[in-house]
Amino acid sequence: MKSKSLKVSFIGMMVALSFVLSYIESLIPLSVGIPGVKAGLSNIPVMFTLYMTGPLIAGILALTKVTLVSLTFGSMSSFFYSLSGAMLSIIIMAVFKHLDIFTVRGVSILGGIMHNMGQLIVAVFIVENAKLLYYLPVLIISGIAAGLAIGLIADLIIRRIGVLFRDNEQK
Amino acid sequence: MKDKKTANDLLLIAGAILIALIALIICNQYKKRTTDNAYVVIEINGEEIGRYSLNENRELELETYNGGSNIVVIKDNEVTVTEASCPDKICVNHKAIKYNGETIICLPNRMTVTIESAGEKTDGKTY
Repeated sequence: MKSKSLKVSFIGMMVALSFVLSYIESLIPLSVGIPGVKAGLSNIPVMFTLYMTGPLIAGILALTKVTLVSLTFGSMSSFFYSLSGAMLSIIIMAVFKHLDIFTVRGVSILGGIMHNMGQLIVAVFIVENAKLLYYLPVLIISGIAAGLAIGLIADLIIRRIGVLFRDNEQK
Repeated sequence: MKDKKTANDLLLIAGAILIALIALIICNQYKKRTTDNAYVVIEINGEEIGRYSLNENRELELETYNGGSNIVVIKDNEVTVTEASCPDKICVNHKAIKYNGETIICLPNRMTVTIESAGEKTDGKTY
């Protein structure tokens, strides 16, 4: 992003967007019978930021989003679940975006799976019960589904309006 | 290049589903092992009235709450409720249970049939 002010306003807009999308998602009970499974609409701005400005700012955005959402709608334990999920997914997504072997959709699917894995890892430590790993298959499948949905949307957004924000020197 | 990446995406999905399936199979294997030395615990109106080994076949006729009756059958490491005096027959239609922690509940007769592993203590249970 060329100018600093554009960058600042872009990040501010993305924080606001992901915050609002989290809220909207909490209003729509998209229940599939499994607790904790949701689409993660608020990850669309995170994906977009990852492809527009790079992993560092996307990571900060994810951190800000998790903190804001946990303070307003969540609890302390949900903060740790969300935080570990978000951080693991952003790190893995940044690595695979850099490796450049998947499309936006593939990176997003990976992010969706890792989001669930991060939460499961913290859950196993907090509950101290390895039986939670029974959830693993469900979480992988729901991670694929959510990641694919988010990836398809993010891919469209990046292709349609990404040119507005992208630098010439960045690919 | 674009097509190659899309192919990689599909490979990723296939790989992840494969891992999920393997995890599912491992979980099922682990569950199966917990049926060894497991007990069938029968409670009526919150009181435990009997504890039977899951590995021995038997048929239990139970007088349950408020004059009701149920027949519980333990056969081939599986438990079913074959007869109930209640009108809804939810417990009779319930599939056979065989894994640790599974339960059949007959609400009108206030009867629960639970499988508990012998080695495992349940804590925090209040009556």
